[in-house]
Amino acid sequence: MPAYKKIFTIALSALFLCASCFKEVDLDQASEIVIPPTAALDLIYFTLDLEDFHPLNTSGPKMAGDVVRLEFLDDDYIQNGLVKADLNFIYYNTFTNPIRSELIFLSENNREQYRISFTIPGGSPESPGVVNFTEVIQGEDLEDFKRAIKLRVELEMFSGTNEKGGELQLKSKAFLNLEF
Amino acid sequence: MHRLFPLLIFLLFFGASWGQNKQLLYNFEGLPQNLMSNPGAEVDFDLHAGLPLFSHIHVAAGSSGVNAYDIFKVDDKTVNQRVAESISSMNSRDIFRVNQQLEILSLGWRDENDMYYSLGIYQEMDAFSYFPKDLAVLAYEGNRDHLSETFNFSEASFTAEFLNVFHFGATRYYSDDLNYGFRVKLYSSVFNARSTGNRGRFRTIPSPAAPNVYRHFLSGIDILVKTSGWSTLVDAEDVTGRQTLSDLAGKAFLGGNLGVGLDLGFTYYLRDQWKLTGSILDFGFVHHNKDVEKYRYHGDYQTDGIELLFPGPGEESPNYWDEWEDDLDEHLVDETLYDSYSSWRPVKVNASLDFGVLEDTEPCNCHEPTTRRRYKSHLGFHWFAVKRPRGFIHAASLTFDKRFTNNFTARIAYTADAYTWSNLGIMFSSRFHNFNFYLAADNLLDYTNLAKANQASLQLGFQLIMNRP
Repeated sequence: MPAYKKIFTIALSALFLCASCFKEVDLDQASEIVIPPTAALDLIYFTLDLEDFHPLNTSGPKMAGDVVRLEFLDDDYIQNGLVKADLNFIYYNTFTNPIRSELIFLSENNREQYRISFTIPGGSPESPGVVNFTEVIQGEDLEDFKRAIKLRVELEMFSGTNEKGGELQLKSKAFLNLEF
Repeated sequence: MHRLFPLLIFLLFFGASWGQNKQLLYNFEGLPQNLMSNPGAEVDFDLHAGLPLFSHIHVAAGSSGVNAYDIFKVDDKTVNQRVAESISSMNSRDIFRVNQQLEILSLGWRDENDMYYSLGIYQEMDAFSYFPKDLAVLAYEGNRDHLSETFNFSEASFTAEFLNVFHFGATRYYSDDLNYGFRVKLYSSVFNARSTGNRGRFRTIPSPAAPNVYRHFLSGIDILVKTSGWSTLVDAEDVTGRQTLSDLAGKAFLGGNLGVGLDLGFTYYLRDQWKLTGSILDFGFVHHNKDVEKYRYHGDYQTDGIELLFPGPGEESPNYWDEWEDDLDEHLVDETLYDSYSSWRPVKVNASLDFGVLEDTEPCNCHEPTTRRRYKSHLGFHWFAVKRPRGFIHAASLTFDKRFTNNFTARIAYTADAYTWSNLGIMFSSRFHNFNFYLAADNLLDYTNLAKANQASLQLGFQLIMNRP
């Protein structure tokens, strides 16, 4: 066989066998690939003054409450991809009275799914009472959390000697750890 | 599926990034496919007829920034660590590319006036995308670790098309020095999608002065994705069903969106040994007015989250979420448009300088209309450029052709481009009587382990080539 035909035959064989030259790799790792973004996003915020608090009855504590739907909790990327949620709530209280904060996550039919409770200490305009509270939700708690679609905020101002005024400010954010 | 997976990985990660750079075919004597890359090429035969569907098969795909070995190698790291490293190492100039061509019909003949005509049909699929680094980082890592950074949507730029090309061309000698030719093309588009010239930025900034922790900005957003032929595929109940395939075939054979294009080329002898060639290919466009859907997202928006107003006792809470969504929709408009658009084909430019060595004084049964001397071997320099959304992408090759016999010729080529400096390719063309077979592949240095290759391509074909007695 002439030399060039040998070269041709060898090259042809090599080209058609090229698929076998896929070495030093483990393609099964493809099934392990995950996309793990962490989203940082704002949640709710508000600033309340004394007029926003109302007594339940003539002798009861002053209360304030509101509810907001969080429709994104029902989205596929949350339902299928959320693996951990860090919810951060920062309160600034210039009322002298401490305030009880209840953050209640509710299902569509208003069943409680998850609750975050803490007390905000009293303060003053010069030195507000500050709470910087982070709730880390994962594991089984996360499944409860993902069943929620609404957030109800309940605030109870503890009775005190001085209710003449002040402000309660909330800032909140979430770190949502996702995996796809 | 297990067997298909390596092929998919190959298509995703290997193959010529500039798949339409046919440095192994360009200016290669004795092959009809030379006319497809230079319609003004010399033709030394009198008739050719490609074996239908097998006269030119071309597959190439690639990525300039990452290969399969980078992702799937076996070492101490996890595959996800390597994916993260790869995203980090690439930039918005990196590209992904898949190109495939299949010649359905190829014919050519010489008339009595020495004009060589050629015509045919080929199918082409071409997909090209720049790596949208900012969007990839945002999607892969999220914004938590990138506060105050700007994610730029203008990096998102891609084109994809699937079309049939009906062509007719002619080449002839003008003088002993000059050969010129042209090819007119009719494009029949089956599918087209493109998104170029996008604008917009996303930013999340910690904002102590704002009412909430962060402020999110979507600024100057204007994202447009144009498609034709897409809705038929999406709406089809069975994409492999007879009706869908019939629709696709109809579009492929002049029933879809049509366009026109032109190829021009020349061959010029500076001296017997020195030959200069050049061509411009696919100078044309497709006008899309059937089955068009364009998706546009535009506007400006910023948000601090949702402010609660705490209505008094007995009052209903506002629909905060609905109001927030309405505000978002008002400022960031999501539109689907159906008006026509035109897409330019990726124009290509070739040029080469060829130096003949080892004069061939043997008589040959081939068409020799000029008095030029023939050479058994050729040294050549080839430059190629293809127009992409952000400009031309270039490649340069050094080639060496050797004719072993009148029936067996080979070429070896070294190609350098913006990303690869180690691309060696080889090509063989052999005739058995009037039957010709050719095979070309590049990036041979990585054939020992294709997993490490960023690019390679494979081209082959069968055809009849004849000379008059």
